[in-house]
Amino acid sequence: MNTFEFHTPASLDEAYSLLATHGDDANIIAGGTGLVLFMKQRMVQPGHLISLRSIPGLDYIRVEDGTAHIGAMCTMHQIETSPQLREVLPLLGETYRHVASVKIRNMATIGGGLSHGDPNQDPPPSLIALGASVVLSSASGRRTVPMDEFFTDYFETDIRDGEIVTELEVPLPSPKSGGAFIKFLPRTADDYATVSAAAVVTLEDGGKNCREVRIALGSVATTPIRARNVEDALRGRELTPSLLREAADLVQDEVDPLDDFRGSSGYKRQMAQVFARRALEAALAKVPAVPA
Amino acid sequence: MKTEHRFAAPANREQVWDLMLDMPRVGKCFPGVKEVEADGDQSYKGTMQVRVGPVSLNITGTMVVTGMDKDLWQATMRVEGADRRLGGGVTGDMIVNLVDLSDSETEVVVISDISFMGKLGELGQPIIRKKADSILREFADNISRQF
Repeated sequence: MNTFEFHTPASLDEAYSLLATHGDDANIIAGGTGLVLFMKQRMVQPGHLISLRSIPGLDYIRVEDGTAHIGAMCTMHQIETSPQLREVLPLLGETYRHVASVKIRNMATIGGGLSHGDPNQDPPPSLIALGASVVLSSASGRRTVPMDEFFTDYFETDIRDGEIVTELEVPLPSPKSGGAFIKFLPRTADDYATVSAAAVVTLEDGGKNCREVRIALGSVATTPIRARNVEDALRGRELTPSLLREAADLVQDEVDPLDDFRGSSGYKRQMAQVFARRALEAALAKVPAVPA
Repeated sequence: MKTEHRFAAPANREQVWDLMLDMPRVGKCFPGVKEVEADGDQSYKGTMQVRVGPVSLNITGTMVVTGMDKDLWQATMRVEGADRRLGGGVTGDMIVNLVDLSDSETEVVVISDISFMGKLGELGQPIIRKKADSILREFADNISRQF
C-alpha cells in the first residue's frame, strides 16, 4: 500500500473543503471494506484519505411521511437488524443480511457500498426495485438521484467532484405489495452473486392484476440494471405463472454479463432469466392476502 | 487483445483521409486525450486519462505512424504508453481503413491489437473490451462532429 495522509474532518463542511483542496488525489473513506482492498491491490493509490467516521449525525434511521431516510454512515448490520425498518421495509434487512459476512457488515456502510459502484453488490437491485434514491451533498447544496440512474459504468457512479453520499431515501411500499431478493451463489456463502435479482410487486386493490412492478438484477452487466421490458410485460395484467415465465425470459435483452470465473456470459444470461422469474414469484407470494 | 470497430463518418473518403493526416486533431477526438504534439517525423507524443473501473490512469506515451497508403486507403500506427505512478500501460498496433459508402459517407474500420499491462491488465479482458467499445463509440461521435 502507498503512503497517504489520513484526515478526520469533524463536519461535512470540513470534508468538502478537504475534497476541494486535494481533488483527484483524495478518496472519501467510510467503512473501508471496499477501498482498502483496492489500495492493497494498488488499484487505487490516493495521497489523501478523508474519513467520514468522525462526522456526527450521519447514521440515523428516520421513517416519516411515507419515506425511510437512512444516513449514509449506517452500517449494513444496522440496516439488517433495525426493528423499525423490519416493520416497514422488510426487503431491506433481508437484502443487507446477504452481504458478505457479519464482520464485513459491521464495518461496511450503506453510503460507502453505493459509492463503491461494484455491479456485483447485493443491495442495489433491491434498492432499485424499491424505487430508492441517493442524496448527494456538496458545498453547493444537495441533489437526489434515483437509484436506477446512479450507476453509470463499471465501478463508476453519478457522484460528481466535491460530492459525498449522505443519505438513502426509500419510499415505503404500498400495503398490497411484496418484495423479494434472491442471490445465486454456487460457490461459497459469502461470495459475490453469480446473478442476483430483486422484485417488488404491487397488486390492484381488491383485484388480482398487477398495479406496479419493479425488477432489477445484479452481476449481469457493468452496472446493476432495471429490467423495464419485463415490468412493461407485467403491468396491468394478472400475474399467472405462465406470464411470469414469459416476462422473465425478456430479461435476456436487458442484460450484458461479463465473462468471469463465476460463469460465462451466456450462462449468466440464462441464469438471469431463471432468477428474474424466481424473484417475481417470491415477491408475488409475499403480497398479503388482506391488506394490513 | 484484438478488437475491430466500424463506424460511418459523414464525409467523403478524401475528406476523412485529410482529417486522418492531422494527427493532433484526430487524437483529440479520443475521449480523455489531453494533448497531442508532434515529436519528430510521423511521431507524436501525448497524454490520455482513462478510467477503467476503479483504476484511473494518466497515460503518457507516443504514437508513431508506421504506414500511410492512400492507394489502399489504409494507415497503420503503433502506440506505446505507460502510467508511471500506478504502473500500467499499453502497447499495440492499429490499422485504420476507409471504405467508400457513398459520396457523403465513409466507413472507418479500426482494427487494433493492443496489450494491456500492469493494473490495466489485472482487470481482465471482458471489462477492457467493454471500455474499448465505449471509447471508440465516443471517438466515432467526435469524428463525425469534425465535418
